[in-house]
Amino acid sequence: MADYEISMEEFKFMADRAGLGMDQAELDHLKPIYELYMQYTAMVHSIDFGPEEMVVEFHPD
Amino acid sequence: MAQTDRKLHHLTIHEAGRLLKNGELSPVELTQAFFDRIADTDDRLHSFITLLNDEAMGEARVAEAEIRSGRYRGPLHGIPIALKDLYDTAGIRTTSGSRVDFDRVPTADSTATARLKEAGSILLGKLAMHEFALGGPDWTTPFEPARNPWNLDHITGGSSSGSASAVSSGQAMGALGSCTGGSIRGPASLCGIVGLKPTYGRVSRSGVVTLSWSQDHVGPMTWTVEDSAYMLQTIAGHDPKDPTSSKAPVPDYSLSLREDIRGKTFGLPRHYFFDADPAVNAEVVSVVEKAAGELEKLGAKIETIELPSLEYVRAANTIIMVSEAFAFHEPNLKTRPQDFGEIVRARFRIGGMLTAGDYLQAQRCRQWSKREFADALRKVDFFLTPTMTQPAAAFEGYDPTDTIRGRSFTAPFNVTGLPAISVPCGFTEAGLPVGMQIAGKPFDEPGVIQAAYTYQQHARWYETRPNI
Repeated sequence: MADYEISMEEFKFMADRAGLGMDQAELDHLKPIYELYMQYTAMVHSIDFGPEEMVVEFHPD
Repeated sequence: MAQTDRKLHHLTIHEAGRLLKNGELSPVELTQAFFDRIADTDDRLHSFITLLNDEAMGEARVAEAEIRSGRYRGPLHGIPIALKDLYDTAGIRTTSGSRVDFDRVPTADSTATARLKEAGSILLGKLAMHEFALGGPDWTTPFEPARNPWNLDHITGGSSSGSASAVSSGQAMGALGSCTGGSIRGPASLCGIVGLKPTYGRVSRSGVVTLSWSQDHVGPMTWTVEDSAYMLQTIAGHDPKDPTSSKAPVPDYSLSLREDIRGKTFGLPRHYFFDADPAVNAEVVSVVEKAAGELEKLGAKIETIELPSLEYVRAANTIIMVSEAFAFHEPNLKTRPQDFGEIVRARFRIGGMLTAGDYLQAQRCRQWSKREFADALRKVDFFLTPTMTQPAAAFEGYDPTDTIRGRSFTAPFNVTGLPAISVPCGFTEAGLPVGMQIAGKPFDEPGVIQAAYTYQQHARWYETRPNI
């Protein structure tokens, strides 16, 4: 899987937008973990679903 | 009064139930045997967060009186069980393995708790778990992580860690786990027991602390397939308190305890679960391939199938999970973040940083997967896979971010909601258990149970217990 990186400035903006109130030490700790999750967000955005609808409710059958 | 030459704590629910029904075994004697077993082993295993000695012995005396007077309730009457500590229990602390809920005492039982009580089971206590059902063993939470009975230096897997260690070691005859990405089947596989994740909606989630509304499942963890069938029978069925609970009728799962898989087709998506990948343990794959060969000898057909969406399902599972978890835990995460353990605090915070677009794309990916799996299940009866990519890891050197990297063999069936069971299918050279996963069509728990039962009765791995 590809490695992903985000700038601290952008990361801090996202954390502030979420209202997480983290100090710099917490941001430094969380950023590399968030970068691991970026592999997943990149994956789901890489799929072309065409006009398929998003079904909000989930039923297995 | 024990009428068996085996230790009481190694009886199965099926075996003990027969003795209890016939009056050859007392629920009081049986329950005491389990508390003795817990006293002998839990300083090493750390399976339990809360023990309910007085309450359980009282329930056992009631069960004894009822059975003696002819009021036998069924296969769980007088059976000592335990619950993962996120099942609400009225008047009994329910911590979710977290300092956040350290003193939380629910006023009502979860629906599953209530149904197990109604069936006459005896609640021994509440079990260790990964905090809020996510992450891994975390020494920054208030509770010691449970250890693997097959090797105490190794993890149990999770998040139903205490459920797996307790059942595997004979501290409880059965337990409930919960499962959002594999938390029933994973620890069951790593601890050599059976774990059954039913179809989404089959068992009520009411009163079970939420990780991810649309992916959380409730299910049993037991020593044998038949014991999981008995527990599922008790907890399954519609519940108006859970808006996602299905109204589909509940079949009699005991009718599936028959050894016959002739003519059934098992699809093996080899490109994801079996083919060479550095993150997939070759010994695990080899053990499961051998088990698939045994099924073939029993009359099953084995077919290689392709499910391209599998490569994306882990991503969908993870994004949906942490996004929904953030929504549920947001107030506590913002006002008392210090009360969360390090692992879960980080992951829940990330859930808050994902975008609506991330979440919606993950849900569209889920739709794709669901459709693709449904198409495949028109050609095969079941999917067959290893349950886990690796055997149980050692505590030493364990990196919790490992659970974020690589493949998940269990998450595809949380994303699609399909029923899936893990059944023991052998051991590694180092003596660690390996599990085989069998998944089926929506609400085909009978088929999944029958397939797993047939294999179990043929392979007989249940005859080997951990030496603790």
